[in-house]
Amino acid sequence: MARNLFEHHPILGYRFVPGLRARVRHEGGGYLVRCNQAGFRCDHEATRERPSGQRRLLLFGDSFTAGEGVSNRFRFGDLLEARTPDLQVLNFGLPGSGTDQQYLAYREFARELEADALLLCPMVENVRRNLDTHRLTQSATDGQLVLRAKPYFTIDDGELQLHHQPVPKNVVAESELEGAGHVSNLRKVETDASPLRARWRALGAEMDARLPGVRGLSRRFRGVRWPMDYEDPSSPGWQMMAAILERWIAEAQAPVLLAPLPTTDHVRGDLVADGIHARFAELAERTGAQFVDVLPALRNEPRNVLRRFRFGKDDHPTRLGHGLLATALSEAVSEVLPPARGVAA
Amino acid sequence: MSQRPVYILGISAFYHDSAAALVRDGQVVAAAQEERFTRKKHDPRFPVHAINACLEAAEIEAEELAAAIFYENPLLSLDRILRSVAGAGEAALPSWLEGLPGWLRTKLFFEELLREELGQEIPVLYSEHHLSHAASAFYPSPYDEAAILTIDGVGEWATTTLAEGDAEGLRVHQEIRFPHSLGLLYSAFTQYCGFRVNSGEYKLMGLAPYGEPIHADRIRDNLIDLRDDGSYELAMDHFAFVAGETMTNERFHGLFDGPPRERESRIRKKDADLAASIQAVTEEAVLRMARHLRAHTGCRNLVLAGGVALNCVANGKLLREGIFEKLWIQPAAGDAGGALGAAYVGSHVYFDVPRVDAPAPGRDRQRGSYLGPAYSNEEVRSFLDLHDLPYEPVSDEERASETARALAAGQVVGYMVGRTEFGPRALGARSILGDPRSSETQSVMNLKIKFRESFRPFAASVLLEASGEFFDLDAESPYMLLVAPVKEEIRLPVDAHPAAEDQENLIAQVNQKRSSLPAITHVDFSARVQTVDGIDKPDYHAVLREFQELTGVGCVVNSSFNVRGEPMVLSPWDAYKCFMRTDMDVLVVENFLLRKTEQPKFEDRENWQEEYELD
Repeated sequence: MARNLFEHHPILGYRFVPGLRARVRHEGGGYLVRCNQAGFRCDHEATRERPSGQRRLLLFGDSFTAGEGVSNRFRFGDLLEARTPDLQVLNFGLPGSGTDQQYLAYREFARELEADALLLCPMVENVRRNLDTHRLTQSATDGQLVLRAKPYFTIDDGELQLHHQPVPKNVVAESELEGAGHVSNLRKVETDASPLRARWRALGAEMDARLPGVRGLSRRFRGVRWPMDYEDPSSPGWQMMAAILERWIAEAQAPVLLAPLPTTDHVRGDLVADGIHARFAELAERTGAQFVDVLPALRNEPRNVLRRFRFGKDDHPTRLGHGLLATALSEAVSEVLPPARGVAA
Repeated sequence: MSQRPVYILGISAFYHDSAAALVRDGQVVAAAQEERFTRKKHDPRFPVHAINACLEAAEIEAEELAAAIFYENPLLSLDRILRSVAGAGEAALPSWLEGLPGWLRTKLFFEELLREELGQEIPVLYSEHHLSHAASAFYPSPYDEAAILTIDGVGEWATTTLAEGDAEGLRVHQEIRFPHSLGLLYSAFTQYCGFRVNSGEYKLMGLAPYGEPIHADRIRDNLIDLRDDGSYELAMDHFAFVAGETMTNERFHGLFDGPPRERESRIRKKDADLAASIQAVTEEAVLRMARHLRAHTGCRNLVLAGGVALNCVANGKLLREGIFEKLWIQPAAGDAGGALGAAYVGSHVYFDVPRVDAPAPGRDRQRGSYLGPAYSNEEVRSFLDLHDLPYEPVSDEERASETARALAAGQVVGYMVGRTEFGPRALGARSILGDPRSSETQSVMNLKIKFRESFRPFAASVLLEASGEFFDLDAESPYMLLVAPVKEEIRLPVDAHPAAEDQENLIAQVNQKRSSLPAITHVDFSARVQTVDGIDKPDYHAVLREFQELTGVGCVVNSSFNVRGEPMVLSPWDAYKCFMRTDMDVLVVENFLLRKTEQPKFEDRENWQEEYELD
C-alpha cells in the first residue's frame, strides 16, 4: 500500500490524515479522496463561523457518508450542497465507525461550529459497532488485518460511560481479549447465529454468486427482517445506539435530521425494514429530531436503476446510488434549513 | 469559454520496468514506475499503482482522460516473434512459448485491463517502441530542434533509431533492426560476466574501469561489423537470444575461453577486461552514430533515450567529443520512460497538442524528473506517531543544516524529501547520502548499507555552481547521466602498476585513495555526477550548500535509497524499514529527522534479505 488514509486519534480512535490528497483503487475505477485539516473527507475547512450568506449542514455517518468508492464531489452530501442554494455541507463521515465514534466526532470537532442543521446518517447494518471495544482493521504498514481498540460506551445505571480514552494505539492480539472485548467484524466472534444458520447463510451467498437475485427473491418471499437488533427495542445493539443518539440530539445546538441509511437489500425490498422504521420513528418522537425515511423514495426507482445502486462486490453506493440518496434527502434538508438569501420565509 | 485540458495517460508494461505517465496539454504532470509500489524490482506487470498515482497527482477522474496510449505496437512485436521463430526453427520454440503469452496479454488484454482498472471505456491508442523513446527524449528536452538517437535491446523490430525532432514533429531517418542490436550485445556480455540482463548492465559499466579493453578487437572482428556511419550487424552465429534461453552460445564462450561467470562468484580480472572491452566498442559505436547523425541532420543538439542511453560513461565521452553542442538524455531512458514518451506521442501526434514552452531558456520540461508520489508532513507524522518512533520535527532550514552536520561527522543519512524520481537514478528525493571526503564511505555504504558488490562506485551530487572545482564537466548533469573526469587538482598519486595479485583483487584497487573525494572517485579517476541547482530541488541544494559551509566541499555521495535487489523506497514505511535494516545513522523524511541511536528495537524477520531477489 502506497498511502495510508488514516491516522490514530486519541478520542475517535482514528481519522483521515488531515489535508490528505489521495486516490484509492477500487472496483468502480478508483476515487479521489480530499480531506480538510480537521481530518475528514470534506472540501471545506471546518471554520467556526458559517461562510457569509451560506446556510450550513453538518453531516455525520460512516463510510456510506464518507463516500467509500466515489470521489468527494459525487457523494450524497456534496450533491445536496450542489443542488441546494447557499448551502455548505461539512462532511464528518468516518469509515468503519459506529454511532459512538460519530457522536465523538461531533463533540470533538463540530459542537462549536455554527450550523443550521445536523444530518445524522447511521448505517442500519452497523448497529453492533456500538458494542465493539475493538475493530479488525487493515494495518497501514503491511496490509495485514489487525485488532485495534476503539472508543466505546457502556450504559451504567442508565448513564453512558465512555471507555478507551485516550484510545490505545497498540495492536491487540485476539488472545488478549479473552472474552473481555467485543469485535463484531471478527469472523471468529460468534454472533447469535447458530452454526446451522451460519451454514445456511454461506449457502445463500454461494447461490447468490451463481444466480444473482435468487437469494433476494427468497428473502423477499420469506419476509426476512434484518438486522434483528431493530426487531426488539431492548436488544443490546439498539439500546446502545438509541442511548448515544438521544444524548447527541439533546446536545445538538441545531435541528437534527435522523436519516438511517438502508442497505441495498432493504432498498430493493429483499429485506423487511419495518423494525428499523419503527425504532427510528420512536426515537425521533422521543427526542424531537426529524426522522427522514429514505426508503420510500428509493423504492420508487425502477429495479434496473436499483441494480446499479451499489457496486458489484463492494456494497457501498455508486455515484448513481449517492445521487438517489441525495434526491431522497433533499426535501427534508430544504425544509429544516432557514430560507436561502432572497427567498421569502 | 475555456477548453478542457487534454490528459493523456501513457503506459509501458509486460516486458520490464512497467510504468505510467500523465501529460496534461503537453506538459508532464506525473510519472511513476510500478516497482516502487509493488516492491518488486523491474516489475513488468500492468502498472495499476502507477496509473493510480498519476491520476492522484493530477486529482482527476478517469473519465477526464482524453486517451490512454500503450508504448509499443503489439502487432509489430508479434510479427518479430513469428519471424524469429520461423527463422530459428525448432530451437526457438521455448522462446516462442515464453513470448506468446506476453504478447497475448498485451494485445488481447491491455484494453480490458485498463477498462477494469479505470472502471470505464477510455479511448486506447498505440505508439511504437522507439517512437516512444524518441518522443521521451525530444519533447521534454530544452531544445526546439534536435537530432534523436535511441538505442536499446529491442522494441518491435527497431533496436537503434536515428531521428530528428522540431516544431513539425518527429521524423525517423534510419533504424537498425532486430536481431542486430547494440543493446543486446551489451546485455550478452552482461550475462556472460555473471550479471542479470536488464538489470546488471549498470554493474558491467561500473566494472569496466577495473579492466583493460584487451578483447575489443576480438569483439570487432568476431561479433560486430561496425561501420563508419555507426550502423552495424552482429555475427548472429555467436548469439542465442533469437532462439531464446540465453544470450550467448558455445561459440561465443569459445571466443572468450570459457563458460560464463557464475552469478555471485568472485569477479575475475577477465570479467573486468571483458567489461572494459565491450564498453569501448559500445562507446565507439555511439560516437560513430552521433557523428553520422550530426552530418545527416545538421542539428546542433542531440537527445538520447533507450536503455543504452543510461550508459553514462558513453554519454560523458559523447559530450567531451563535442560532436554536438548540446546533449540531453531522458532520465528514464529505459522502458519506463516509454510510458512518458507514449504520452507525448498521444498528445502531440494524435491530439495535435502544441508543445509547451520551456520553463526558461535552456531549461528542460522534465521538472527535474521528480514526477512520482510525495508524502505530506501530516502523513509522515501520523506514521511516526502511530508507531511511537522518536523523531525531531525540523524546519526546512534545520533539515538542511542537520543533514549536512551529520554528513560532515561521517554519518550516513537516508534522505526522503519531495516527489520520487522517475527513472532509475536517485536524485536527492530518495537517496542515501554520505561524506565524499571519507575513505570509509564507499566500503561502508556498499557492504553495510547497500549489501552489494564492493567494487561498485558511488555517484556524486555537487552544487552546480561548485561543479568545476571537482570535475571536468562543461555541462549540467541534473539526471546523473554523465561521467566526468575528476579534476587533476584534487587527484592523489596511486600505484599505476599494481602487482598481479592486486589486479585480481578488486578490493585492493577499490581501497586505494585516488582523490580528496575518495568515496566518489572511481578507479579511473572518473565520477558519475549529478549537478544540483536550486530550482528543481531547492531542499537538496540547501543540504549541499550547508555541507559546503561546514566542510568547504559542495559535494556529497548520493546512492539510491534501497538495499541490493530492492526498488528505491517510496513511502515513509519503506524508508524506515530500510533505515533500520542497515547501518544508516540518520533518517530524514520530509520535515522529520530520526536518529538510529534513539530508535526502539526493530522487529523484523531474520530472513528479510531474501525478500528481494538479487539483481
